[in-house]
Amino acid sequence: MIRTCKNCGGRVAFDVELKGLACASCGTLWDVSDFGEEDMLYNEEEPKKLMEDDTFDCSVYQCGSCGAEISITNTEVSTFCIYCGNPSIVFSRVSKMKKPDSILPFKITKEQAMAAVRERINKGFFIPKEIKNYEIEHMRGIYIPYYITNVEYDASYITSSVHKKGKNSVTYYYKRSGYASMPWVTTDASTTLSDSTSQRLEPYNLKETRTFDEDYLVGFYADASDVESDSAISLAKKRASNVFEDEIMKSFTGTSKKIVRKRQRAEVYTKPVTSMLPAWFLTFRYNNQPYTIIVNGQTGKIVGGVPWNKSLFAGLVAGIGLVASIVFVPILSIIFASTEGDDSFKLFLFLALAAGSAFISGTKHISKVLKSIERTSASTLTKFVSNRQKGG
Amino acid sequence: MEDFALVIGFILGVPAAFGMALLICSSILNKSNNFGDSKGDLMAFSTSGIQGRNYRDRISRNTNLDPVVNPTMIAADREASGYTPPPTIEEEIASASNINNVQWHK
Repeated sequence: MIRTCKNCGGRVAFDVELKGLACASCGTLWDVSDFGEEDMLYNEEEPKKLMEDDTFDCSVYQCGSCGAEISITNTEVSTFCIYCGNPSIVFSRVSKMKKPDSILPFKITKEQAMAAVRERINKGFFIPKEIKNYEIEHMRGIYIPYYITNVEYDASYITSSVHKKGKNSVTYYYKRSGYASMPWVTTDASTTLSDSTSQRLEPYNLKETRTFDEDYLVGFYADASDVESDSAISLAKKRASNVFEDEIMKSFTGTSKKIVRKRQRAEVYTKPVTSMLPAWFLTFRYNNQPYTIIVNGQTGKIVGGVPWNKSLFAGLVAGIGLVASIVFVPILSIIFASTEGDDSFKLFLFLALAAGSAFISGTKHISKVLKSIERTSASTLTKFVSNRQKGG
Repeated sequence: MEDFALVIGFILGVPAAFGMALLICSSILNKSNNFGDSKGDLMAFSTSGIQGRNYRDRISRNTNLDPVVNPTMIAADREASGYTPPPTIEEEIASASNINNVQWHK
C-alpha cells in the first residue's frame, strides 16, 4: 500500500518536524486528514479493495536471527532487524493489524534522536572509544503498542522507618491512607519488548495522543500487539500499586523504610484504550554482541545499556583502592594500637564489621549496575523474542 | 604489638578501601553506561495525585489499618460536593483530534 502525492504522484511519508505527510518529489506538505480511503493505491498485483473498519494491511518481516517480527505499512523494504541489528531479515507475509484506538505521533526527528544519542555516548567515561567513534546508521522509528488503563486505587498502609537518636536507633511507625485516580496507566502490549525497558521509556505525555490514523505510520515500523486486555488490566493494577506505594514511601523520612501492613483495592471500570507510542531504535554490534539504544519519540529520553571498558574500570578501582588503602591502613593501625585487652577485641569486631559492610556494599552495587545495563542490551531483548517464539 | 596493629590495619583497611573504590567506580559506571534508569511515577499516570485521607506519624505499631473505600462511593461523594473530575483519556483525545463522535470499544 502506498500513499502518493496528489500534486505529482510521488511517494509521501510522515515528516516528524513538519507534522504532516511530505512529498519526497515536489516537497508539498499534506495534512493527515487530506488522505482518505479513495487515495490508497495498491500494487498492481493486488485487487483494489475496501478495508475492514478496524484493521489495516501491513507487510510483516521476520528476523532470521532473533525471530522478531516487524510490520511496515508502505512498500519500504526492511533491510535489518531493529532489535538485534542482524541483516538477515526476510519478508514473511501480508497481514491485517488491528487498528489501535489512538496514536502518539513522533515529535523528535531522527536527526535530533541521533544527535542526542551521540552527545550522550560522548559523555560516557567508561564507554569504549570504538563506540564513541561509531557512525550511527541503523536508526529506525517504531510505534510500540501500549494499553492505557484507567485505574481507581484506594489503600491504607502502616509503614516504618529507622531514625538515629544519639547513639541509639529508634523505629517509628506511620499510617498512610488515601485514594488516587490514575487514568493514564501505561503497559506495553508487545512481548517483544521487556516491561522494564518499556517502563524506562516513560513518561509519555498522553494528552498529545490523536485518534488513530494509518497515515501516521507511513515511514515508520510498527510492532504488533500480542497481549490480551485482561493481562493488561492485571499488569496495570500492579503498576498502579507500585507507583502509589513509591509515592507513600516518599511521604516520611528515615532509613530502612518498609511497609508493615497494607490493605488495597484497585478497580478498572472501562476497557483499556489501545495506543501506539513512538520510539527510535538504534542497533549496533560490539565484539559480535548486539546492543540497542532506544529514544522516546516524544520526549527524547534515551534508554539503553552500552558496553563498558573493563580494563579502564579495573584500573580505576585498583588506583582508588590503593590510594584509599594507603590512608586507611595507618589510621586503623594507630587506632588499634592505642587500645588494649577487651576494648581491643571489641574495636576489632566493630572495625571488621564496618570493613566487611563496605566491601559487600561495593560488590552489591556493581552487581546491581551491571544487571541494569544488561536489562536493556539487545541480547536481553532478543531473549524475550526467542522465548515468545518458543511459547514462553 | 605495633607489627600486630599494622597487620590488623592491613586486614581491615584493604577490604574497606577496595569496597569504597568499587562503590565509587560503579556509581560512575551507572551514570556513564546506563541510560535512562528511571520509570514513570504517579504524576505520569494521574493529574490529581494522591488524595490523602489519614496521614499520621509516630503511631503505635499495632494501630489498625483504615478500611479501603469503594471508589464508586468516592465518586458519589465528589458529585455531591460539586467536584469536577478531570477529563478521561477518550475526552482528551477527542477534543485534541477535533472529532465529536468517537466510537470506543466498551
